[in-house]
Amino acid sequence: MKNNNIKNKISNIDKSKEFILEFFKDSNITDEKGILTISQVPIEFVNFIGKKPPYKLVFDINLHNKVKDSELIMQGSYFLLAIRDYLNDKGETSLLKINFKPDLKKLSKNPLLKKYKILETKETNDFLYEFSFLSTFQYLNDKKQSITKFLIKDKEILDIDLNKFNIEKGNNKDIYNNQVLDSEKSYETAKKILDEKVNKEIKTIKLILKEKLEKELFRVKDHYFKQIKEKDEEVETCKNKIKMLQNKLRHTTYDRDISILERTIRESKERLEMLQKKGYRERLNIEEKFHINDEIEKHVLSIKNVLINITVFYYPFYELKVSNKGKNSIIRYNPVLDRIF
Amino acid sequence: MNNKKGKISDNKEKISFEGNLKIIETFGEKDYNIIDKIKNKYFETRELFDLKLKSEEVSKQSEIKELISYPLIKKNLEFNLPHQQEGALKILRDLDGRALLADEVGLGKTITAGMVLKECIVRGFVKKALILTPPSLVNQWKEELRTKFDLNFKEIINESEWENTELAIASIDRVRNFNTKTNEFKHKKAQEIYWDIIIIDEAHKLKDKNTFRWRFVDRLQKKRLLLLTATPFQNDLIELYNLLSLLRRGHLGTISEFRSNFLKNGNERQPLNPQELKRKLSEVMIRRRRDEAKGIRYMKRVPVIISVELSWNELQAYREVVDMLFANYLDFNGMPINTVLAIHSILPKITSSSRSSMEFLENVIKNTKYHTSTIENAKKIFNRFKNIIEDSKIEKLIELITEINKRDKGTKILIYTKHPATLRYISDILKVQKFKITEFSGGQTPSEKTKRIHEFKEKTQIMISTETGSEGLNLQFCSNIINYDLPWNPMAVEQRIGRLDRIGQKKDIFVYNLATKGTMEEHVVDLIINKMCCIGLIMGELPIILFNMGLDSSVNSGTNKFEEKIMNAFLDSKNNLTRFADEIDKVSNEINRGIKEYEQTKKYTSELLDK
Repeated sequence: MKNNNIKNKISNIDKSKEFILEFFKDSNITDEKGILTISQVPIEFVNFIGKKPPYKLVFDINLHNKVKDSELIMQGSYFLLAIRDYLNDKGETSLLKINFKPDLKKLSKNPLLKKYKILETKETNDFLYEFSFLSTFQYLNDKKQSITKFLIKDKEILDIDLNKFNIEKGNNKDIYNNQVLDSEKSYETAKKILDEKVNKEIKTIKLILKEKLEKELFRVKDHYFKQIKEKDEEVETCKNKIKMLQNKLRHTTYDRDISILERTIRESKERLEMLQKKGYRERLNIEEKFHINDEIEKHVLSIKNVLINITVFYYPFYELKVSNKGKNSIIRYNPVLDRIF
Repeated sequence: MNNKKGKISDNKEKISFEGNLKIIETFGEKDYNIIDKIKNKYFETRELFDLKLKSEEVSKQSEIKELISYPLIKKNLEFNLPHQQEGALKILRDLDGRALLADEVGLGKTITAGMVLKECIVRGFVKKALILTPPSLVNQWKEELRTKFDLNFKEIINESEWENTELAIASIDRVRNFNTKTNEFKHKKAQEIYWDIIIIDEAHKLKDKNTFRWRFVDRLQKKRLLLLTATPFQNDLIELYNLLSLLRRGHLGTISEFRSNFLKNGNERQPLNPQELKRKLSEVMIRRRRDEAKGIRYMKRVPVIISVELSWNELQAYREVVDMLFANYLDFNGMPINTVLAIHSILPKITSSSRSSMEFLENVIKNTKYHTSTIENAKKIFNRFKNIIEDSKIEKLIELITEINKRDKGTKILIYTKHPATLRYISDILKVQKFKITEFSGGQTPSEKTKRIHEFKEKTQIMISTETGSEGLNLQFCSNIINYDLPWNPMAVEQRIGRLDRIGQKKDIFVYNLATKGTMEEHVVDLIINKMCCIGLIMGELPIILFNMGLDSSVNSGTNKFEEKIMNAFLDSKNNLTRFADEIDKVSNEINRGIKEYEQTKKYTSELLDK
């Protein structure tokens, strides 16, 4: 167990270091005695973080304590959070090209096109949208995050592996002027699917939270149940005492005892009146509601889904003039999905 | 960029319930901006997105195992005291942010609470935070949060200020005001806000659930609550019960259950079942003793009163000015000027030095707001004494510095005075005597202040300072303080000594005080120094005692209740020193009772929580 923890720690350090090196790849970096010194940092980043370079980055708390003005880099550390925030509104959109040319000569052998004779072929572009969401689940003093990606075409979630294609950096010029990139409907689809997926993901969290909350609510409810019961009992005792004293009074003849009993009855009645007048039930019910609400709010599960990127994939799309049994028609062929329309 | 406002509203938060569990789901408010970017064919590189994904991965925060905010504040903290970090972690991890922090005085509960707060903010758990403190500690808290945690809290004075204040701090005495006519708290707006965290300092003042203070706090809606006090109960264990009721209702059962389970008949302070009570407390409380904490040494304060014998002329000048204040201090219309205010602002000045007395008289002579008879009287006194050349106090000061140098050559000395004019005067005289001096007063820029502190540490032997601007300074490299004049507010004196009496101080601290014989100053100095500030209390205990006695809150004149007591004593004595001494004795007895009560409370607390 201990070894696993150490391994995790080391792999986290490696990941963080690798990330830092990539982020500052255009800056000047020296790596000496476990200290990464970074200079020549873009001014935009310097202004954002509010600290002038060189940055001395260390990956070990003991070293951090020794090196003056160093920044400790560890999973979730402030410097990494600052870089994340810096990148927050960056990399939100990308354009990629699925670069492949299907062998049109072989197209006629495609089972979907078998019954057609291809007369003419016209190539154009079509698009797929990839939506990436960052979901954050926060509850009590815990926070979990996950990233989900959806590939969507015309409101349909696609289950295809784009890695089998040759993906290249896209060029804006490849998109025709009359082509509209409307990703809004696909976004609405993605939201719905994400909702379902997230709900599956938080099942365990919900169970833990519910259990914790119920325990706290039981404490509050039990407390007020007992409090009300105690007050009720107090009222009942008071009433019984009055009855008992009144009974006693009826059978007493000595003046001195009568006056004592009358005084005690009067005091008990006053006490009873005070208990009932204060409306303890209503007051305690209001208090209970307040504390129940406090616990519910304390155990709130907050889910925040934020779209962090839309990537547009474009690829060749064919309009085919075909003839079938002497009849000419136009059909569309999507080679990435391998579908005709 | 087209910003589809209508669409943004589509992404409003969705609230649902599963049983009692509340779930709030939201989608990004700016999602449609990205859709617009695509529509406008605005693209960035995929590498940037890949880098962004990696940044999310490496900055992902796991469960709370360490304080990720610590490296941020470490540079601002003078010492790394492990118990503070451990306490903050325990509060967050094991106690879900609802805890009674009952560390002994001197262990830095403020720092531990600040660490909890900062961690929550960095992790994104807390946006709205409220701190409630005794009146006298509001500024100290604000300053510590600003300098050590880079957090700027806004002090709430008026109820309208609650709106739009994310980080709020307020005096608990101010906000608990209840309007009996409307049957509402004056600051009820604070109760309408849902706070992510509330911190209450000196929480033992919430021991009585029948007070407005307790009821105000109980009605605050909060996710996390930190109660700070070294003495969670004073007279009986019901107080502890009331305090815990704020944290977790019913944690110790109903009051009847608590009585039958934990209270011994006839002894309200000793529990029936101490082990069980301790176990229950450990579920919501953190308590550490000073002897358990590593890295802290407590040094002694050695009080030294230096009696200054005034010359006949000086004493006469002082007496005539005081007589004028009592008998002939009139405004333009011949009406007596508010004596309390006059005494407060003028008396300490004229006891400071005869030069200050002359400055005061000059001011009266030049000012048309005074009645002609007052101006005439001032002229007479001024003309008679303006040429006094002797200054017994400054002579005594030079003598004292020489003595200190004999004992410990070149040792650092911090001289405090209330008045900038006196500061310059002392500085001029000491420079003539070839002492190396640093002057420190309000109105200097932060960088100038740092420069002066550095100068005092490295180059000069003496720093002369006023209170203004010196709050929060760390001068533990110096162990001699000279109070040239003394504020009548013991909290201000504590603040002065507190610059030296800090973690890291390696020597006993000598607290020298110049007190002019034959004036009320000698009695005030004796009371504040010998009977309050230098009686072996730990830094931070005196404010608790004064707070417990209700002597730290402000009164209308802008002074606090303790200062008012002294002023009233002076007024009642009608400038008769013997009578004034008797009055001061009464105050002293009262303070003594407060101190004894506090010591008793500490003893009971320790018996229950530490043994």
